[in-house]
Amino acid sequence: MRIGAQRVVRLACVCAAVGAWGSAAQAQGTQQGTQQGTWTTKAPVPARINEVTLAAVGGKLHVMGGSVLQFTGPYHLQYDPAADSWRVRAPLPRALDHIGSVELNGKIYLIGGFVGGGVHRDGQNTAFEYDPASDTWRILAPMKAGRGSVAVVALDGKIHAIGGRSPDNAVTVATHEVYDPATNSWKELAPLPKARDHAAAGVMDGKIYFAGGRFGSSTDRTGMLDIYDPKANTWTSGPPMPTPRSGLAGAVYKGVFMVLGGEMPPNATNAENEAFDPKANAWRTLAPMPTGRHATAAAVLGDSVYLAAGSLRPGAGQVTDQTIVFTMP
Amino acid sequence: MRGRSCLPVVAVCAALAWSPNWMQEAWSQGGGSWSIRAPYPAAVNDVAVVAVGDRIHVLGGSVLGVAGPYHQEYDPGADKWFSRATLPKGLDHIGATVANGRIYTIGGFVASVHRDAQNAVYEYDPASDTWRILPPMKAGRASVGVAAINGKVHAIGGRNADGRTVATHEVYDSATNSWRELAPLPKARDHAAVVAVEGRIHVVGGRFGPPTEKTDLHDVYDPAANTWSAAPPLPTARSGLAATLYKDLVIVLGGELPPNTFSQNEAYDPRTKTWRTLTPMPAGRHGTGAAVAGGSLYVAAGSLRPGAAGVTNEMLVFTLP
Repeated sequence: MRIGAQRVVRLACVCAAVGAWGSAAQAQGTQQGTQQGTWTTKAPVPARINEVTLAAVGGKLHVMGGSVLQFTGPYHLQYDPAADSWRVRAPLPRALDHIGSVELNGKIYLIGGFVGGGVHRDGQNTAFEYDPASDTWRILAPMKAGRGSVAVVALDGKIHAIGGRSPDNAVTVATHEVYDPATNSWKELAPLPKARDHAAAGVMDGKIYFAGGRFGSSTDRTGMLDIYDPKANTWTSGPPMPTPRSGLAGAVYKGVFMVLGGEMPPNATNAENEAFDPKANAWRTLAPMPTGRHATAAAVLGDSVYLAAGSLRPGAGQVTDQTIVFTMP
Repeated sequence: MRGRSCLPVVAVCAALAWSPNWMQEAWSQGGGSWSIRAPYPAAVNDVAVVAVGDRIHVLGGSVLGVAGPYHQEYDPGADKWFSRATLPKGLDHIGATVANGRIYTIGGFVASVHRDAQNAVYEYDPASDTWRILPPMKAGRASVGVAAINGKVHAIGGRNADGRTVATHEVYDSATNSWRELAPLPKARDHAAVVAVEGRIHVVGGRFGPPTEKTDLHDVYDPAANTWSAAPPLPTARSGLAATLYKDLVIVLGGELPPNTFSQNEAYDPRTKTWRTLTPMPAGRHGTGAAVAGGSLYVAAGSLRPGAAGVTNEMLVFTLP
């Protein structure tokens, strides 16, 4: 009896050790060319959460909101890269998933989100501001209407909330609102040329890049790239993303706009890591993630791009606690 | 190079993870054997586990300290999980049992750690996949031990809304849809193992306050006399237990005592009035429950380390010859 137990404990140890080595092996395996970057893994998120949002502030990574078995929580975790460890921070003012988020002037802004209890339900118009110094949340003026799966970026000291899905889950919207922290108010700007959600957005050289996403159902995906010029308040088309997909993570990193992952129900997720280079006006392919995933987000912290949690399979399939890190010279 | 040399071992481990047969052979001993099944579709702590109609139901629980109304049903034949109607409220540390073909959930906390114990009582009908709200207990309790005798649901011990352990013993009668009080536990405690066998209720182990105040006490309730009597103590004093009746034995599994968890699997035989040690779980755990379906005992989710650390989605199955 005892021998059986000891054998199993020893095997568990071997497997744990191999798990650690496995990540090193994985990083090496993707080192086809260092120009395309490399992936490594870090301490896992202390929970398996789907449909989270990520933002980096003050040298730390924050993972916020999300759902477990389709129930949303006000989850808020902070990762310290120096210690490679996680800790729980002040929960969100309310439980939401599919939140849009961005960092601006040392604070995190959360925009919209779904309330859960199902898929894409009851998109909210809420806006919250997190102050990492005091570990407190503040409730801001709401958007004009509820939206979840909305893309959020910061440009010229203001926060843009673009596209998303309306409260009834039937309508993908082209809405583009901007929040001014100085006046705590929203105003409308030029809408997207074509309504979509589950897209990725980033800011480079004073312009907003909005890539991919879906027009309605999760299989109705696109590779469209739209570029917003705030001076003219107009959108123009850019070269389409090579792999049309939705359920994306996006980050601006080392002068390129990286678009990561995605889902294509019923069986596929995307491992793609494609980056738009505004100088070349072209997309290039970077080292793909170790596995396909969606329902996560990306944030730049130090010299790397971080992704955490989300799902390795479509919908709420194989929800993960992985933290993966991309670095490119 | 270092990474590459490990790849075959990775493959072996991956294969092992998908090979319950191997697990079963390696663990097969006189004290029963453990293997793994399809994981619970989430990593959730402080769940309740019951069986009805040869299906396992996993109820409630918490993620990062937030309780959810989670409800999943496991089909042992298909080795698959199905989403079922969610609880009327997000709760963890629920007490649960089955009577008259229905699941009863009693009390529970709304948040971690041990916050705001509720007096809520719900009844689940598996045929219609619906929940019904029943009359509440007289006061909020969670981590309460629940067992059914003669179609009546007994709620024993637990922790109240002020965070104190209680000796309270109430019984719910579905015929009258009402609660009444019975003889309290000889000593207040919670996080215990509570199992009905041969018309009596066994309350084993648990804690008087913090996890360090664990106990090996074993009290047996006789409903005919409405009295408690002492029985042989649990060999390993512990709390945060999973328990069920399996092959006429009161099986008491796991537990926590920071910085460790227990993998112990100790069984009380009411005929011989003795404890015996069975094959321990593959790793220590707590925050879970146990239930029997199709001749095997199942343990789902919970935590591998104390508190809310190492929350797992593992589904273990134990079989005694």
